[in-house]
Amino acid sequence: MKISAGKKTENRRAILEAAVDLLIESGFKSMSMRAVARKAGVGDATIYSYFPTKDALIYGYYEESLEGAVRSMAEIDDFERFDLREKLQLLFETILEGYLADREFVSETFSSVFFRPVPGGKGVRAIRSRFLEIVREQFDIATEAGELPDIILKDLVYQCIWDYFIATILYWLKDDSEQFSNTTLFIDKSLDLGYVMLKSGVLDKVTGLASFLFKSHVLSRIEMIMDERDTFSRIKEEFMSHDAT
Amino acid sequence: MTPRDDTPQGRMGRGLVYGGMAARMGGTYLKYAAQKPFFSMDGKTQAKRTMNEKNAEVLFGGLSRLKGTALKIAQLLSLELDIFPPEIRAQLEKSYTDVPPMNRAMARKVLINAYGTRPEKIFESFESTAFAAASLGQVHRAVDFEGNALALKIQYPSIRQTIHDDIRLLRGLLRPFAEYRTLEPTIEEIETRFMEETDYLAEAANIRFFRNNLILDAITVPHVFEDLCTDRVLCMSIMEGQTLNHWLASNPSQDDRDTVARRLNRIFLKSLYELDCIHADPNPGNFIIGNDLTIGLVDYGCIKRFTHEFVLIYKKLPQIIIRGDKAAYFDALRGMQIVDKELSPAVEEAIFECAYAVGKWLGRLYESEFFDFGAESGFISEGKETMRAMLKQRRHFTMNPDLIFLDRTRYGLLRIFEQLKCRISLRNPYENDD
Repeated sequence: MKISAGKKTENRRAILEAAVDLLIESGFKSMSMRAVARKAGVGDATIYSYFPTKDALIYGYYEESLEGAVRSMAEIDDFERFDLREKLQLLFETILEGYLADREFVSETFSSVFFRPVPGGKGVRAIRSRFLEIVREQFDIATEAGELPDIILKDLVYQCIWDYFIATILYWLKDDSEQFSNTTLFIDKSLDLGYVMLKSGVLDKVTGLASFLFKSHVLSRIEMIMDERDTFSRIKEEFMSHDAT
Repeated sequence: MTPRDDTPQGRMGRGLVYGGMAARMGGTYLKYAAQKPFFSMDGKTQAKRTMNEKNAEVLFGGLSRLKGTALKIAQLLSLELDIFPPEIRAQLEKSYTDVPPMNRAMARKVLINAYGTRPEKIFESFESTAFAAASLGQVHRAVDFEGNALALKIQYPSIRQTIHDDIRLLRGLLRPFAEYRTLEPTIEEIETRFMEETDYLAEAANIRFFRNNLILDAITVPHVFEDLCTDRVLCMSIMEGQTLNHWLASNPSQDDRDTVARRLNRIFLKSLYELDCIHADPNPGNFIIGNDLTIGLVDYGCIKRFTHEFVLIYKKLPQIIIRGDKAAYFDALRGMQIVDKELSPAVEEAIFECAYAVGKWLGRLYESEFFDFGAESGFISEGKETMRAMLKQRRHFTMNPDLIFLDRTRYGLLRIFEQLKCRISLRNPYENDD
């Protein structure tokens, strides 16, 4: 049976929504593909044409939220007037807005997706490369408009922003301030710093050193949450091994 | 976009800045004290002036690095008549420049937090670039789905905590100075004002009060859209026109300037003498002049209410001073709780002499039907000298915060008149018996 692209997108979203609900209700381990399919109102077999595994569902969620954020940003009237720094801030905040409704799900799955014992699994790679693509596009616009100096080793900068993004989400997951205002401030202040560095071309002058410092700065933040990462990895591995049987 | 700078964040960072400031100011004082015995009289005055200038720079440098609260404190203090020496005030007056605005992404975020949804769902259009800086926030244009043009005033998420920290640190900074005791009630008052000023629901109530009561020809007060107000977002109708300073820069005619001045004066008199409540922030940016010279009064974060008794006594003050009735004058001061202890006849005499000088100076405004601020350009600076003499007596007074805000507003209004170079009749049925 042939179905339209619109229907496909709709199905995909319905399946992801169902997966989020079920995972929050019963956990990853007890969530079955069949239950997800039923809840989403698609056929038991159909679901596999969208997501071949339970893991793919989780990755699918993170990919979809990136797309959702991009769509949502495009709807802003004066988006073109935002500078790069504002666009990055908006991107982070918009992604977080999307996560907010599914916070439990994100809290349950984030570490296991983004901190794998062997980094760079296929699922994460897809999310990462889409994220970098979004960032790169905005950097190109900023460079072309003369807002930013042309930077050597751009890819390193993008990679830093990816690390920084993960750190921000982890920070948000631990944030217990009212309306997560600490995260908002964290993003605001740290982007100030990063953007000033970018604009001043400091990365070019001392590229190696500056990016090394910036990166290790971000990483040291992640260090604080390392314990949790390990816990999540362990739980994830347990899930996986059970899943196989 | 405004370039970002290295505003120190967090309590520690701010503490360090203030600490450094106190240390440097202390250092300058020490140097002066060490040199003191070797100066001749003239040299001493000169040295003292240099010291004040240096301190002003240091203080201002420190305050302006902190932005937000500190800038606002600087603004308030710079308007306090002569609490600081002129050199310090000159530096502080520079602080009128706007606080750097929140960026567009942040402005959206504040609205999303306030409304729980994206601005596009609430408004037909929303401009994420601010069109005006408010003292502790900023103002954006928006249009609702009914087509009403709106002004949205929003504030930075953590501003209340920042203010609290800043004030605490400011106290620490000022404590070593001789002026501290005199300043303490003012600082307390400032903190209270700040907390009120950051509560936008309270401001919405203020606007409602003025809209319902300050009914005057050619004066407009915004309409508040209650449903869209939270403690951090204030939604009101927009006032079309130019701020007073921008309008003035367009070289309006003498007649127009006189009309605007007259209207400003009416706002003040009616508020004080009929409503017992004034708009106490006479910043030229708070008066929006329309094409037909209508005045839109904005920013109700700083309003001051008085007891009716206070206003009744205050009203009589100019006449009492002009009549030279010393007994009535001190009765009035006691009635307004400005003097609360017994004063020796010599002190009373000295105070009254100063008051008489101030009264004589102010009396010039009423001498003839019209006062011409264009022709008498030195009026305010002349008054400053008399005021300074009065302030030497201030240890005998209780600094009544009501009076500070009232004086500040009045003085601010006179300054605006001077800028307007207007010709205006200041005689009024409230203060002049005849």
